[in-house]
Amino acid sequence: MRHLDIDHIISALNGTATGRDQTHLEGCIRCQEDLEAWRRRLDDLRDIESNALTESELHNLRSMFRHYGPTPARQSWLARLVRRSEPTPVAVAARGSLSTTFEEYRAGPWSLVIQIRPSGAADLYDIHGQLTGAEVRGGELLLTSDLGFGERSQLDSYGEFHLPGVPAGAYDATCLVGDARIDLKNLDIGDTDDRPGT
Amino acid sequence: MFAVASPKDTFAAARRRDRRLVAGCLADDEDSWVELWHRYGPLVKSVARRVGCDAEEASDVLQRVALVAVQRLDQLRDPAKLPGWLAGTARFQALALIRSRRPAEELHPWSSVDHADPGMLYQRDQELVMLRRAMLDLDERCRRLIRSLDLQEPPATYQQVAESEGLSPTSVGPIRTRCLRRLRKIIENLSQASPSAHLQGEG
Repeated sequence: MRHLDIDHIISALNGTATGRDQTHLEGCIRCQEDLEAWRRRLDDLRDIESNALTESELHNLRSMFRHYGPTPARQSWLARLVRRSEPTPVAVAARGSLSTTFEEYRAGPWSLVIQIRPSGAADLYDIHGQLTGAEVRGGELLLTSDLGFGERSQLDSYGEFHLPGVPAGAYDATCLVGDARIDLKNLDIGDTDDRPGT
Repeated sequence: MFAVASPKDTFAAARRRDRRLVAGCLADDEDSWVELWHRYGPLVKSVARRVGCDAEEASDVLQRVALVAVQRLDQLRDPAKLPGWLAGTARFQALALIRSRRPAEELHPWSSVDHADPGMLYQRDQELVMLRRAMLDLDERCRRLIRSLDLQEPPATYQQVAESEGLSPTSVGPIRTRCLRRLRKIIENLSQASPSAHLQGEG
């Protein structure tokens, strides 16, 4: 049996198949599968093509690269944990979602305090914090995870930031302030009982 | 006539291009960064839309994925897996964004990780990655023809394509057929050569 070639399949997709092709299609499972595979591919390609980037999106991506790219001229600091206040297991059981964790980090002349609080939705947390130690106006904090979460928050004039609805997980945080970059590795958000090494 | 490389060569060329893009980004080459998003930005937004994001949210997901990429490209163990990583990251970001913005009862069934088979989602992402790579592997004229005649809504007429491409109207149909054959061959090559991505329905 001679199966339908791609141009005949496309004609069928466009609803312009000849009577002979239509008859063949009705009796040929292989050509029906080929037709369906093409329908799905073209739908997927159409969908991808319809999501072409806008000029505004490309402009934002360029700006992002210039600002956060691999070789910004910044002085880098690695933050280290100096204090952690976390609820005991009893307190967690008693207070449930009201439990909150505070962590304090130092990085050169900087001090970073982070508060992690359940947001109310399952496995989501609200992150509040403050960076102090020098001029912080215009700074920002980036939070990224291996799983692919990424979010950022501007620091206000007091160095405070707020990131609502962060999924539980292990994160890296980066503060960019003036010419300084402060990196905080392995910030755990969520159930501390499941945290490796605790 | 047209020539398509072997499955192994087609896949290897696609991976080489992605490795070069990542290396360029890590060397602070802005053109590589922009090219990366021209290639795979539409894929990222498409994945976000499939999860249930509206257009504005999909744009937000794109920026978030880019933020993760700019911070973590150097940690990508195999740069050739970049598009799959971007698609997976887009899915994760889109789910997180939707969960944080909408009440549970409004969530699309796919928006719940509890209802989705991770293997199936991964396979789906890989299929989209392969289609995107295949489309980009076509020569520019074939891409324009397929976009105009098979992807655009409503599709262009042969007469319109003939005018825009400087062709005779009678040659548009045969060229379109050759382009679609070439696209299919590239898809088959990528599918055969990729260890984890096979499209259904290959005849």
